[in-house]
Amino acid sequence: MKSISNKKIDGDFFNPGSSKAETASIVIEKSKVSIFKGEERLYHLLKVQSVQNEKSIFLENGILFVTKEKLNEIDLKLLIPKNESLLQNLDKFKLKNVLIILLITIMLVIGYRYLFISFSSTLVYLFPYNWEKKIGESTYKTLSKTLLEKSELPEKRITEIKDKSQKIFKHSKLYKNPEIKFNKSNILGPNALALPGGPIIITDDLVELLKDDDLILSVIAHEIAHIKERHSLQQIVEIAGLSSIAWMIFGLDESILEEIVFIGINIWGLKKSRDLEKDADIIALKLLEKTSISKTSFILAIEKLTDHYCIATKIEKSVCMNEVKSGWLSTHPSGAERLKYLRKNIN
Amino acid sequence: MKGIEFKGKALEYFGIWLANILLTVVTIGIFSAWAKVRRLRYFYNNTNILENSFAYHATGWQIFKGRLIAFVVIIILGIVSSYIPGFSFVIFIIIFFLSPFIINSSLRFNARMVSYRNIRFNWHGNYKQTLLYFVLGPVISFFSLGFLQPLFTKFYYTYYANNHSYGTSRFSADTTIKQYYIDSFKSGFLPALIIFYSIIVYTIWDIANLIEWNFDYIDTIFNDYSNGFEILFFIMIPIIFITNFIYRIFARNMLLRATILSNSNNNEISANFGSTLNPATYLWIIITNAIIVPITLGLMSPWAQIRFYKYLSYSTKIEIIGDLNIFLDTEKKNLSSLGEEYSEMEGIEVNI
Repeated sequence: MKSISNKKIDGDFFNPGSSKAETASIVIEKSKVSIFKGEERLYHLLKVQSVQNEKSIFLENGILFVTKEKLNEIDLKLLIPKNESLLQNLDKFKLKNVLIILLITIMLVIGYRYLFISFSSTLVYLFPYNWEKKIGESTYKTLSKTLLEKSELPEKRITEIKDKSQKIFKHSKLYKNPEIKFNKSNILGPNALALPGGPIIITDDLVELLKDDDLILSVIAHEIAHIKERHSLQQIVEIAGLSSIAWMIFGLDESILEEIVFIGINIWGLKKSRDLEKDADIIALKLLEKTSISKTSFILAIEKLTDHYCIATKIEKSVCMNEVKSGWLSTHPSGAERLKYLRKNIN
Repeated sequence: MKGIEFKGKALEYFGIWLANILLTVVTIGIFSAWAKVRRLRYFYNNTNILENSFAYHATGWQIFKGRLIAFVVIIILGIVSSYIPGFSFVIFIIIFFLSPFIINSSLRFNARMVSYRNIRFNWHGNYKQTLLYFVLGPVISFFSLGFLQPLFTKFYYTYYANNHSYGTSRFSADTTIKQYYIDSFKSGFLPALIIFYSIIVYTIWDIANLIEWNFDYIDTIFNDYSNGFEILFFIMIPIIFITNFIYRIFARNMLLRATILSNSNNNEISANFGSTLNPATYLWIIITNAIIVPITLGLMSPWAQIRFYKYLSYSTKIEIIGDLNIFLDTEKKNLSSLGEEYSEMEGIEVNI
């Protein structure tokens, strides 16, 4: 490649820290610049820091030279480092270029998306168990201050359920058995939650609604399945992965589009949550089978919970109990949908 | 007085935008620091005053290093706070008192990386005033139910203008609190606030009186009023939001009209500024951009950005008085981008 452009290029020269423009000319040599005023050489072979707008050449020591006309491609190649020059070629709008770049970008994005989803269940096992447990414990602490109150169930009843749940733990083969916490909550109603790495939270309302031990144990089996499969962590990994991809594409411009994309990701996250619930339901059935608790007790538990939901939401029972479609903003499949696939699995 | 010229073209920027996305995706996000430099350089390089364009000097490495340090600090703080109970509160206090320092670093970095005719801009704000006007001001303004907002806008805006410089020459803006209150009335912001709070006070007064006489029907009384409250919130809150937006545009116009640049050599005025930003046009551009970009799956984003920036430049006026050759810049210090990138990660935006 030619490294010397012998011709002089006219323009304005600015001394360091001065806005005063002085007429001068430059000669480009070995990617460096010499400045001349008439025939007198003012500076010899100065390093180029950047070339902007194809006219402004920023040189070492804060010197600026602005050419009268835009620099031609040959001069630009001499002044701009090779990698930048390659980028500039990429920047030029050519339909062929645009189509190729778009295609590569779309393929990469789709590739990343499937890569994250396929490996998320494996990736979670790289996360130390103790860290996951720490997340669960600190979440429980926060919930205790906001949503949860001290349980009003008799101590005897709590011990009874805890003792009976040991046989499920025995078959679940967890690294470490999580604690079961009983709490009263006016906001959560009859509910059970599995925090990452434990504990499992059972509300007083759930115990009072289900009454029967096997029904309560079947719900505990479902929560154990979440912990065993590290579902919370899996969801965090996938959402973080997808958010990173979305940020790479849309987050660069700080536009409102970024917000729209993140709403989309959240909706996707809710669908994922419904899939994981279904997963936990199926695993719970297997656990119940191993512990010789009737699998129908889980169906009965879901029936009671769905019935309670129908009454609480004042939706007509015939509609509510048969609504198999889950709303796309729900975290769980609808009660009717759950009952449908649970019955299918038992049969 | 002439509008600032912006020569950027959507098709030209489209190539840069697309290459930025590709390289950011390929490098799993690392290139985004360089992408930012390329984007800002395109916009500055195409912004012209009297045929001279602006230049942007930050490098991708500077921004990347800043982001990396900020990322590591956030991770460490996150881990420590998960192990030490109550540390989150300590972090909040630390960040609160560090924020003026971060804001100042951010503003200084942003200003020093931009030059015009070989003279770089600069920021001279100090810790105490930044804490007062940028951190505490918005909090006090919020607790004053919005009535002190014009007062704090005055402090915020003039502090922002008076502490920027072009080399050694300082910008200054002389505005009065009265002008900001007049603008808040003209924009409808203060009247909307007054109506909103009057309705709330009147309703509470009315409910209190009814409860006094009909204590047994307390539920019915609240039910009767809940519909009224819904209407109040659904109508009045968007009105307050829009009038506040208009007020900010009025205040920006007023501030720029009051801004001058005095040359440090002879203390004479070198430039006057103006702003003719129209709230309706500005809002129209924002709304239509927000509709068009998602519909085209982001492909029209370069066009939307160029359109927005073009309008902003066109509406910002400048009149150069005297000689452009006599400005000086004595600052030689190179800045790191830690402050700038940290505040960006935390979503701290300082602008007018």
